[in-house]
Amino acid sequence: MDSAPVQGDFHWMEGCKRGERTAQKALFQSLVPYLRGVVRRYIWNDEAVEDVLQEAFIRIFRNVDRYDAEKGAVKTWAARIAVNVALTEGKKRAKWERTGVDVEMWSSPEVLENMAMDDLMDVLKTMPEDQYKVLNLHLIEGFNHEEIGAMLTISPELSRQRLARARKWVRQRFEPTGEAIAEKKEKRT
Amino acid sequence: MKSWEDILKGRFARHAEPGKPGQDEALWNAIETGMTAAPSGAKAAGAAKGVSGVGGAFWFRAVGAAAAMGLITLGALYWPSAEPITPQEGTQVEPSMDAPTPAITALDSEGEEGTPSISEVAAQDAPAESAANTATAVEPASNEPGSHQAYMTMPAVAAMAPEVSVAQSIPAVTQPATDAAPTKDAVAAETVPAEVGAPVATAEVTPADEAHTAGAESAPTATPELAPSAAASDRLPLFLPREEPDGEENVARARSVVGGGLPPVKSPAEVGLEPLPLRGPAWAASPLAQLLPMEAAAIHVEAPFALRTYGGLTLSHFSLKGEHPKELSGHFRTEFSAGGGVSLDVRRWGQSFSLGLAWYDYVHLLDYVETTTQDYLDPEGIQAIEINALTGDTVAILYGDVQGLATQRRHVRSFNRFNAVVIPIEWRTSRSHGRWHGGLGLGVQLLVRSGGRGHSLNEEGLVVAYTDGDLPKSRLNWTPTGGLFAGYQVAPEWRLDLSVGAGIQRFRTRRVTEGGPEAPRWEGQLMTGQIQCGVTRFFSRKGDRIQ
Repeated sequence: MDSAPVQGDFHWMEGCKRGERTAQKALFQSLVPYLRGVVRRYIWNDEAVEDVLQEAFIRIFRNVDRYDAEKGAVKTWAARIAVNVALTEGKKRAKWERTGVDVEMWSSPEVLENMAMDDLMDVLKTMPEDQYKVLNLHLIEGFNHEEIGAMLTISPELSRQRLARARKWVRQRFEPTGEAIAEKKEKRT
Repeated sequence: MKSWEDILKGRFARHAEPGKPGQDEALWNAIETGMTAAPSGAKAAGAAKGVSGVGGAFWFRAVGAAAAMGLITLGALYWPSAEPITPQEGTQVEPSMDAPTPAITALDSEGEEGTPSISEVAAQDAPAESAANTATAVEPASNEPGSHQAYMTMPAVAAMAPEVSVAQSIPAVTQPATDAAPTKDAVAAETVPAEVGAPVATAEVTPADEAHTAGAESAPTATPELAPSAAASDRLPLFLPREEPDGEENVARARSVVGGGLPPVKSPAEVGLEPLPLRGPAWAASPLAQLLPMEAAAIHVEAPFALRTYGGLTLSHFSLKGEHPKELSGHFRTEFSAGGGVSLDVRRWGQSFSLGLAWYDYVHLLDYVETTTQDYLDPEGIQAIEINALTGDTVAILYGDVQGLATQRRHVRSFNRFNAVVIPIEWRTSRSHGRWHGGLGLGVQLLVRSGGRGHSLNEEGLVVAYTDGDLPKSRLNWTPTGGLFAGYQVAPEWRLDLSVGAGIQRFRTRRVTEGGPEAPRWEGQLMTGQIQCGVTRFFSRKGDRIQ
């Protein structure tokens, strides 16, 4: 995750602490595309994404005094709030519908690099939801297992277990082993 | 070659999703609105964290029921005595008191013929005919809730006004009241001291009563139209005072009014009559209050032993513990079943201890949509399609093995049952007010499982069935319990009880032994509750008598 501090964000944060609406709007405009991408990884419904963003920004502005610049970038701090709201919202909503691709082709890791983001998300959506959340929180957002356990109300051990399963899942699809490739070729012939 | 982890991390970290045109502006407006509103949204969003909604609802219900029970108990113990009804509240009666003149005149002239005159009353007024008689005369009016005096009508009150004034003649004091037919004058005597009380008594004068009344024909004030008018109009329930004024006081007041002869016609206010307050809150007129009156004579039971039987609803709610994802617990719902038993209450050292034997059946519901995925290989799948980039035509299709993922869903609704023989051991403390008792009990329940079956969820979120054999080998379990109870002493030896209680216990499958058959693994806790009615029979030691 990008943790480099953005000077503009710090400047706007000062304004936000003073309750300046212009600073709040500037910070909003700076963060909203990134946070929308973050929230999109946990919430699939467009309308719900906007709801979560609204709630997340309200929390950000209300808790702006709690931001500690020494602990990381504004973006990172805001992303954590957005993830928390998204997880809470996700609990309230029905389990996601697995409308993603049901049939996949064997791919190499390079495919991941070139795949459109929507397609990538669709592929990842076919992963069990619990594993997907842990994968995102640990790999992408950078939370440790204790933090994930607290956020998902599971034990750190279970978080590790789910991460291992998620890794296995992805690996099976994007890093086929030599044996698997050979087996595949053999079947083709 | 980059690993997939690095690629994913890099792509997602860089990923930003600009909104559609106008979307950001709309979002900002919504945020601004939310910022100006009360900060309820943040709290609401955070509230979903932690206890699952269903579990929370269970405790809300349990605490609510306990609070309601507590309020009922407190209400029963500390219900304030009713404020006397002020004259203003009885203003409908007031005008009727101001127009007695014709009736007075009539009675005065008729008194020589049929009814004892006022002077005669004064002569007959012997000390022996005192409060006792008067009080007896009051009784029929106050102890017959079903008779006419239980209701009155506004038109009737106005029409009966003359009789209220007649009451000043007090002859009833000299006439012992009879159960069957109090004379009109006797009725009138009742009405003397009070404006508000007057309608109660005068309503008793109906044509039927007149038929049994000796001087009825000669009493011009008992107009036959009174009763029909009362019957025809809307009835208002009137709570009858149970605490009648002392008879002597009545007599003394009547004497003070009558004096040596008939006083000049004055309004009640001038005479100095004070309204007799009606006592009792509105609810006291309810059928329950009539059945279980708060003011009934208290029964103090000091019996050392009591046998209590009870039965009623049981509630249970299950939640998963251990490594199970907390959200899975949300699929278990609270349900009802039944149970009952018997307990022996022993009173010792000013405390009450209870030991019993009961059987409870607990039911909770699993409502869950299970989703399972399965990899499969499609040998005829499309592996690739070659398309001419210029024309868009399909050049070739490559068929072969394609890895597939099948998703299956099933909706499971299972009423999970757990029942046990229970030995409740409880310490109880209570307070009483009149015949009502209320208090709380704390203790433990020893459970001997008699059966259990149903469906639960494992760590993977899959539904697993279980039977009694999958539950722990040891059938013994225990649960701490607490509850509130209330009771009404219907007789020295008998009491009706109502109680609510709750407990919590572990509930899980048996541990998997090394090399043994694998049982479905899940563990959790069962929150249980009971809402019960019962009857208590008190016993004394031989020779003692229950007070």
